[in-house]
Amino acid sequence: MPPALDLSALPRLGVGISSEPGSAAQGGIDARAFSLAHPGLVHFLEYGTDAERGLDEHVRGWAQAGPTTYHFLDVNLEDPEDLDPDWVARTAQMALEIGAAWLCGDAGLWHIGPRDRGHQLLLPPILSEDSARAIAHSVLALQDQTGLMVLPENPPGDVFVGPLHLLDHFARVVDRTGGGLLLDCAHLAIFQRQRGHAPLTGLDGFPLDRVVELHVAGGVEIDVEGLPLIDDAHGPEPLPDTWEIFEAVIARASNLRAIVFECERNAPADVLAGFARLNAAFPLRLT
Amino acid sequence: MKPHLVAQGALVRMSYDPLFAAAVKRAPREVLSGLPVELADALGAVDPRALRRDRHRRERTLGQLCTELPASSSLAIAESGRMGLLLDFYQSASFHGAIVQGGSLVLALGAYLEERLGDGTLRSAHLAAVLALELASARARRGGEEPAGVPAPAFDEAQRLRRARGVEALDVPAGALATLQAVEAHRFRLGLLPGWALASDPPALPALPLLGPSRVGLVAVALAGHVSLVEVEAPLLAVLVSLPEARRTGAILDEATLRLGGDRAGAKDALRSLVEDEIIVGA
Repeated sequence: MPPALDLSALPRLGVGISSEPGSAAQGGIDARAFSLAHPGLVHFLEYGTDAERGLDEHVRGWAQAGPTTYHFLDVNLEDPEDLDPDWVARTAQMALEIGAAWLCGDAGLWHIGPRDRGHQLLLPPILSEDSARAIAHSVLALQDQTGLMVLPENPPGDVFVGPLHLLDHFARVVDRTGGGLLLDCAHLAIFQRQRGHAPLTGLDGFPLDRVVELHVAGGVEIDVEGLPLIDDAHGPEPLPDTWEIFEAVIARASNLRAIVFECERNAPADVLAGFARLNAAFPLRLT
Repeated sequence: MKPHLVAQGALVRMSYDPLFAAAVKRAPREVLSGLPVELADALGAVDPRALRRDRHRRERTLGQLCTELPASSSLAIAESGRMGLLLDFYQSASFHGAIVQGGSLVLALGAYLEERLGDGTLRSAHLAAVLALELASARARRGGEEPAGVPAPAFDEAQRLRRARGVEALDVPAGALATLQAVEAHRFRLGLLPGWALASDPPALPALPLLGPSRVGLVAVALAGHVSLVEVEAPLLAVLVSLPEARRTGAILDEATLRLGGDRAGAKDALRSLVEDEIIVGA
């Protein structure tokens, strides 16, 4: 087990917005335009992509002057064999090109079997010791091969399988890596609701000092044949459970460096209140 | 494979195949006998309604897979008259095998259609011909590419050779390529007005070209994600099909000569030509 990394050396990025290939060109929020129209609300861009789709002009333009993080959408951290050299090289090259402060992404299953047509999906990890060990192994290997910190994120899901609580699973991951985590408050709210837990269940024993980044996003309560679920819709209004988790975590996340509001597919006017609340809770510069 | 990865595969199969999901629910330890009982039981406890949350998952994935088998899937629907024939793919051994063994779902869908031709569910000779073409392209696309700048191998009988990555060889009935083009043209027409799917009188599939008794040799070559289908003469095809895996030059020439009715000089010229064109490389 490696010694715990000193997370205090990581840059404080403030509040950022998410983006994916082509999202700005297809009518999503353009971070530069939004930032000009609403100064002080967005301080960095988190770009989510895969090796096949690569970078777009939106992130390239932002990266000329603003900080970024690189969110992968195409590696199964649960399977260390998925880190093939070609994927690692392409990912590292893209992250380097946009000056990403770190790599991050959902630590589950992004594709079943090979990276191939029709294989894309997103499943949360199996909540077991084996899975936590495999994720930690992948995180350490990816950090070693890219020279960048890797923040595994708790994914959303319609089904969570395995004996562990999701927070206990990720606590085991970080115990083994000694590194940082990305805690998605909306995804955690989905898990808690599905397992019949209160929003804050399990946070007491969770190593919040290892949380480097938080995600916040709007969700929608849906009914599937009488089964209540939450759709991780990335709408403008986070659910109350998500805000409750956010408020509880931010109070104790001593190494928090970045918050992403995953909202780029919404109208700018609809997300102003969310950005204002996040900035009030986590100002870019400490006074 | 680690149990958690086996469990993920099972969950994916449950998401696509409701019959499999029901079987897991009834008897998780029997159906998932390769898993630790705790994980098998956990999968058996999954609420099937949660698996149905994404209502279009099956159709969406099928649509992605069919982009590489467009003419084959269209002809299969045209012959059977029902989309269900394609959706039944998710209940097939080809689908489940691909998930369990980490194979390509496009190739698995192709194998599923080959099986339907084999068991007589589908009988169209045109379907068989275009399926062979589209599957060869799909295999070539997944074969990878050779590194640049590798010198051509020495041409002596002890040299071991193999087909270059991303190269597939096949022979099809004359008229197969014309059939592919005719089906693509029909699909283009249908795509102009998707509302036709709701009409009782959508444009009918036009008469397809006759498939001749003669065979045509083709090579599918993938380069930068694109696949070219190139007609090749009989000697070239004879050499290529003599190379399912790496072999010595002498053995390739022996078999190709046999296929060419004893024309060893022809076989040798063909092999030399394919090596020069980097269709065949040193093993």
